[in-house]
Amino acid sequence: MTKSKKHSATPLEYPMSRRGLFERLAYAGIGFAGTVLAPRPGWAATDLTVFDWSGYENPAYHPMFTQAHGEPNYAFFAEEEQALQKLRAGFNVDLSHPCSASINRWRDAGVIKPLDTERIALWPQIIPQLLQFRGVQHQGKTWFMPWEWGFSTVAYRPDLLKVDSPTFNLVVDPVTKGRMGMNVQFDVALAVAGIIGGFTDVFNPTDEEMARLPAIWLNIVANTRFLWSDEVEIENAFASGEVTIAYLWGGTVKRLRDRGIPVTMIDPVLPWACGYSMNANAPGSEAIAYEYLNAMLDPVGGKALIEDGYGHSNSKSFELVDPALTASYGLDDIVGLFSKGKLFDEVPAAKRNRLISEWEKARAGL
Amino acid sequence: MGQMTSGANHVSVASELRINLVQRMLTTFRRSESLRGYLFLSPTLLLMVAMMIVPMAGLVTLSFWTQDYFALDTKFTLANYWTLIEPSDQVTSFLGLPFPLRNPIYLVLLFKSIMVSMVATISIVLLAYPMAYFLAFHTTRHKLIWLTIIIVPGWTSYLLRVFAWKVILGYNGAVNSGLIALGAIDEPLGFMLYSPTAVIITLTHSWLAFAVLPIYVSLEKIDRSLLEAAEDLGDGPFEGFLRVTLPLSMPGVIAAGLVVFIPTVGDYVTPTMVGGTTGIMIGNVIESLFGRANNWPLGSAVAITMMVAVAAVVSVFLWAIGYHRIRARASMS
Repeated sequence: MTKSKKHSATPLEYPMSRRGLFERLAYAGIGFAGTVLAPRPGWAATDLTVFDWSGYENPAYHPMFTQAHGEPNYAFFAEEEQALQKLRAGFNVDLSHPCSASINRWRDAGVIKPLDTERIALWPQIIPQLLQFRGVQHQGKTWFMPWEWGFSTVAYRPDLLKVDSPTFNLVVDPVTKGRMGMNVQFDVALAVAGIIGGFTDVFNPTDEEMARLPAIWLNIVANTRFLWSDEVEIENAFASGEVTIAYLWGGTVKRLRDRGIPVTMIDPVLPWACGYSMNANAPGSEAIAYEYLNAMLDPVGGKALIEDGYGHSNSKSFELVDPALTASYGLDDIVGLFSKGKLFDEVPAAKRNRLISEWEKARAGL
Repeated sequence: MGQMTSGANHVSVASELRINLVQRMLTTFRRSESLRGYLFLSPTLLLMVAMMIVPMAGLVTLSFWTQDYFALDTKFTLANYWTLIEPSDQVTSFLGLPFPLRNPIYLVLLFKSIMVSMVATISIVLLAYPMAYFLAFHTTRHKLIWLTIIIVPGWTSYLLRVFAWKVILGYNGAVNSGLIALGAIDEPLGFMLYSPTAVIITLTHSWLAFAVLPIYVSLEKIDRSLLEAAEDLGDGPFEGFLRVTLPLSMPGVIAAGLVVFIPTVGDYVTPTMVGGTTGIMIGNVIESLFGRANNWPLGSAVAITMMVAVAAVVSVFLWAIGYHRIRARASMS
């Protein structure tokens, strides 16, 4: 029997029979498919993972933690609801960064767990007003550590848009048609429309107010150049004059002014507070997560945050910053800010879906 | 001692059985070519099952459920599909067509997405055809270099290409700055970006490379002697093109059209980035239902409706042009 007549091909046999070739290919397939089953050392790193808005990973905000452990891992989100859906779909992290208006929602979804405030040494220094927000305390437990606060508002370019007494109505005024930048989130659109329509409680509209809402939203959308979800995008559009009026975050207003661009804010401002919650199903060490939370309350890190244009939740941080600087961003008087503005609040779950689908409809111009 | 021997006997019987079984499996494996074929495909098959079939089945199942705050109500219902077609006295009109629906957003945007995609597909095919023609008939040497030049734009990230158009069409972008420098306009033109036109332009550019290749392949296959015959029988270059080249390259043109049309209907990145408020498409609504709106069942129903609609449009199109006849003709040549 000559070698070439054997069914099973040896590695050096040429020409290889079709059968031999197929057999090899089959082995290659099994081998490749099998690699999925092989153990992966190093996949389940138990380091601290923080799910955050982009920009807050700045090491200057938590020097105490960096000195002790280096930098944690970060994952980023651009929108709270998107973050919530990702967490619900099984993305496990140790800490995440919701805002006060969504704590109840996140708790109901089962993605966060209560905090043991005893384990956060700097907890007593937190500004007491910030602990009063809806959802921070629930059934005797604390679910959220306030960390940064500030305000958002409608602002315009006084050099490009000449108006005598600016109000939110400029957003729907034909004079700003095609030059207005609105945020894509439905609760922002609700707040702006509610202020224009004179709603009693903008985040909890009555049936009569809800009936008037679609018309206001359609006017807003008709004036809108684009609905932004990316802070940098709206900052650049505002700076270039592509939009002359926009819904902006306080930090954006500060950066625009630093760039030498005139910005006039329109009252009322919309104050907000965000912070950190510990996640249910956290894969990492709880002790290290608490260390990170404590480090974020450190006044040295707080000073860096304030200098970037946001308020810090530790009252002692403000003692390290020039009062003229905080006054120039309107962050010197927390009580005044939260009482004169319209606090970003939770929309009742019963009205939420209807409002979202109305907003989606308005966005499509229908 | 006796115990040990009997134990060893048991072991040997068992191992013999196992060897028999293994041998039988090996024999089956050697004899069956189709089994070997499947095993060779196993990585791909596993991936297809895990990444396509399972999620698709999940999507179909989900579309018959309903969302109840954060929980899913798993009772079978057609409510999600009813939401899409529920009639109403109030008529919404879009492009002159009436949509007497309670929630017109889904079907109106589906219709709009199909229209945007069709316009993009037509412009892509019109632009890709001359490129493919040049490659097939006018390059003899360095064909590979020419092909590479055409494919190179496809090597950059899709997102980057969309961003590039944002820069070109933008308020302070290349086109506006150029026109201002030339003195053609005083103020930047605002309508170029954030419109359906911007979506169509961006889609056209992004998918062009994918359309050139199938057209090129079908042009390359054409028997050149047929063109000579046409010439001998009195056809000019234009008539020859119309009567020989174009019909024979139709399979490639159709393939290119489908390659572009099917994925672009559901595109979500392009309208998000350059569409503004007037350029949004069905993909944006699906994204929002799975995200902000937290209504996965309705999102699934819209996604499935979109797939069915695209499949229907494609089938009707293929039937209308008599695709099987075109194929038969092309394979005869």
